[in-house]
Amino acid sequence: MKTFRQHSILIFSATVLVLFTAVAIFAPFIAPNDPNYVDLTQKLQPSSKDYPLGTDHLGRCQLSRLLFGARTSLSTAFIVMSITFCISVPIGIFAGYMGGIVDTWFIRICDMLMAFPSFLLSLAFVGMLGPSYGHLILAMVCVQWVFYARFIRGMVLSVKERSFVMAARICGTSPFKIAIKHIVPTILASVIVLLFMDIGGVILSISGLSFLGLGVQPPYAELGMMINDSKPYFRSHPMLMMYPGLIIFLVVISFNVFGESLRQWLQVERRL
Amino acid sequence: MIEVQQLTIKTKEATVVRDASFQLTQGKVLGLVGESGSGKTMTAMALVDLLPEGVTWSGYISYHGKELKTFSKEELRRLRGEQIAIIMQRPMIAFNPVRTIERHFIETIRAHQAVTKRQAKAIAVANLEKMGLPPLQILSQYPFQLSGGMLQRIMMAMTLALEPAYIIADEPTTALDTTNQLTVLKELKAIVEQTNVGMLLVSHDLAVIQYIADEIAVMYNGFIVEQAPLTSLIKSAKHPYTKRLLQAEIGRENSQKIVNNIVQHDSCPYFAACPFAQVSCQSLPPLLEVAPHHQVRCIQIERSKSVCPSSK
Amino acid sequence: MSFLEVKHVAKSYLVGSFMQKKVTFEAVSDVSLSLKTGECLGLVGESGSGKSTLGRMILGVERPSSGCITVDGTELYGTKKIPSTIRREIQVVFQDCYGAVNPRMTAKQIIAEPLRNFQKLTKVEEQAYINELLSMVGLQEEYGEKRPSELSGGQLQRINIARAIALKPRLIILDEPISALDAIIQVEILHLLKQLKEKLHLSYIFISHDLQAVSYLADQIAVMHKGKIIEQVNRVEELTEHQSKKLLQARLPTLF
Repeated sequence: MKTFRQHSILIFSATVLVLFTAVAIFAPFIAPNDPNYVDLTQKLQPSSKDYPLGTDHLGRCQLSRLLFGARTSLSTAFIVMSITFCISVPIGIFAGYMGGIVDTWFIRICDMLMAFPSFLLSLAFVGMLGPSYGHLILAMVCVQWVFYARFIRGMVLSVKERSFVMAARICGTSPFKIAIKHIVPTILASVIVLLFMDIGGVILSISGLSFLGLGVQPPYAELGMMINDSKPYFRSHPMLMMYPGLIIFLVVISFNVFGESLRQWLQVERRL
Repeated sequence: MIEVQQLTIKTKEATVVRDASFQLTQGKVLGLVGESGSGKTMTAMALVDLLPEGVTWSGYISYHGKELKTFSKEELRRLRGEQIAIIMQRPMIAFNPVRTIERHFIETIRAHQAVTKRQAKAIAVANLEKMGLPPLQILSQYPFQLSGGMLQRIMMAMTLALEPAYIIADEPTTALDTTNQLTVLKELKAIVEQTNVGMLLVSHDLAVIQYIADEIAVMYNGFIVEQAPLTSLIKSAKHPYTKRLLQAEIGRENSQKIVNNIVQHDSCPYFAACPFAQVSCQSLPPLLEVAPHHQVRCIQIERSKSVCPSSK
Repeated sequence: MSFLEVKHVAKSYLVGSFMQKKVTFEAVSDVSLSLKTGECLGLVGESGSGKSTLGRMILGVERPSSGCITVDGTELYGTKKIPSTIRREIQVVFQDCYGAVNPRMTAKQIIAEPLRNFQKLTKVEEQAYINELLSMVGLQEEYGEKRPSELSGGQLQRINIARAIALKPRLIILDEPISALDAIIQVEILHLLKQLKEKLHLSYIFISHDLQAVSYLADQIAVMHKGKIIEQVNRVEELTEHQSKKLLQARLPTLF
């Protein structure tokens, strides 16, 4: 445990994240109104008792949409990260531990996929497959897994050379057991930190794709999409754009700060 | 002369060195012997104020009469390197792998002396020759191309080039083969004789220390438990731990209780492992002078003299 | 009849960095030796002499470029994977006692690993056997619960030794087992190794640069230099080669 200051940053950012998550989970109970209920008679209203943050151009409650939008962003990011984790960890460990031709081919594939800027690649995927929630997740996972698998493979390569792995081989432990009992625990902390630090980027990508109309589809609320929707009203009702932008900013920065302080706390090396 | 009195070093968790007092005089070698964790490296680092973060020291350290605490940052920086040089434990990692030896030398020398690159190179050549190394070949090489023994001798050549008044050698031979160990120790001995430098030699191996030391201080669990001139210590050691070090010879069965070192602040540091420990040993013994310049921290001296078999 | 036979074993590597012409480096060239049960062979030499490489080949983790190694008549590298019957007969103790163990495991788990790979013991049986092994290496039962960071170098090396003898192997490769320990602990561990050798009829290949330590345990001493065995004798006094003499002279003269 490092200095109290670093420790308190960790606690603070963790608290913020827990709050966001709680809000996201309990959105249906906290939101004052149905986020998708269109009432054109109420369009573009300022804050009032019924609509604490006003309404958007279709008369939907802004606050409710923000809450549900955060819920969508967080849950989508979580789903993407989970699937990525489940794919990249086994592949990375397999490639790293096996070495030889398996590893060489793996690196070639990674190089090919990583040559493209990730956002453009996911954009291309969704563009090809057609905009839908499922395709959004698929596109993001297809692009993300490469980075993590590569990183994990690198860590496995360095752990593989350590004496205790050789000692395990010599006392008869099978490669599978070595992977589970020795390699995974050693790299797990680094992988988790990495996931936390990148989740902010994933949320931004989701928002970006939704902003372009290729992500979450209406009527579901999503923060990036809300920014896009409020573009025409920027001059007259700037807050319609500010609120979702601010929420994205806060969420992403909390994840980054939490990831960084977690990394410092666990003393994990920075990924270059 | 570097004088140290009542040096106490504390980390966040524990007190690692307590009440250490000794002197370093020019032309003489003081050997500091102790196991890993005895506090010997911390003691050596405290002399040049190079303790790790979070570690504090208290007590009195003076360099030629001037107290170390009164030195400014710049004075301290010049102290290290110009007046007091340090030879580290693992020469393989002390060098920047992407710089040639020549670059290392020139940078080090020019950091402390106002000379041109050419002059620095000439100094480097002279000092490498003193170490018995072929200068021009060595200067063009990178650290990874050289063995541990050679790197250690190059490091010694670099410290010599700065003409320090004192050298602190922290386990200089531990990472080396036995063949290299002897060569390096012989060089250190020659350095002391030729340049009248004062040396603090830290090691866990009494055989290494007794080869060149004039005076030996034995540390255990943060305390100096015995301190004496070389022959005094070897021939008439008084502390049970020192006797154990002397008797530890391959082939001589001598099993000691295996203990985890816990520094009890107010009991004898050797209490847990000492075969002669009594109830009265639970209070901290003071350093007693038993012979000229020979001090021991043990209240059982009389008893152990009669019960413990002598070393010879 | 020797149970370990090493015949004309050699190992070479291609060295040379990118864009440089690759040169063949012979770490070990044409080494032959044999070992009987209960015998200790000391393998001495300077660093770079090839002794660690030879040790790794006998351990089964590095395939020789040529030559063959047989254990009880069966070739070590005959099949792609080492047969498990042979695997349990050859174990190792490394120089770096901290690096040789998983820092997250307790001493008990470290010792239990080989047991769980080859035997099906109940929890009670396993615990009892581990306690027996701990006492054989001079540690009390409570050391089983400690993690590597809580143990000193000497204590941890005892745990490594306990792990090595757990499967009751015939041969243990000792790769500089005491070099990283404090002088006073080195002596204790050497004594322990001798005790265990006699008690359990173990064979050792003791790799070291310290001739004095080796001669205490070894029945035979082989001196390696630049990848070859230049001399093989039964006692240190019989060493005649110049390189061997160099190692002898490296002993520090002591006043005590």
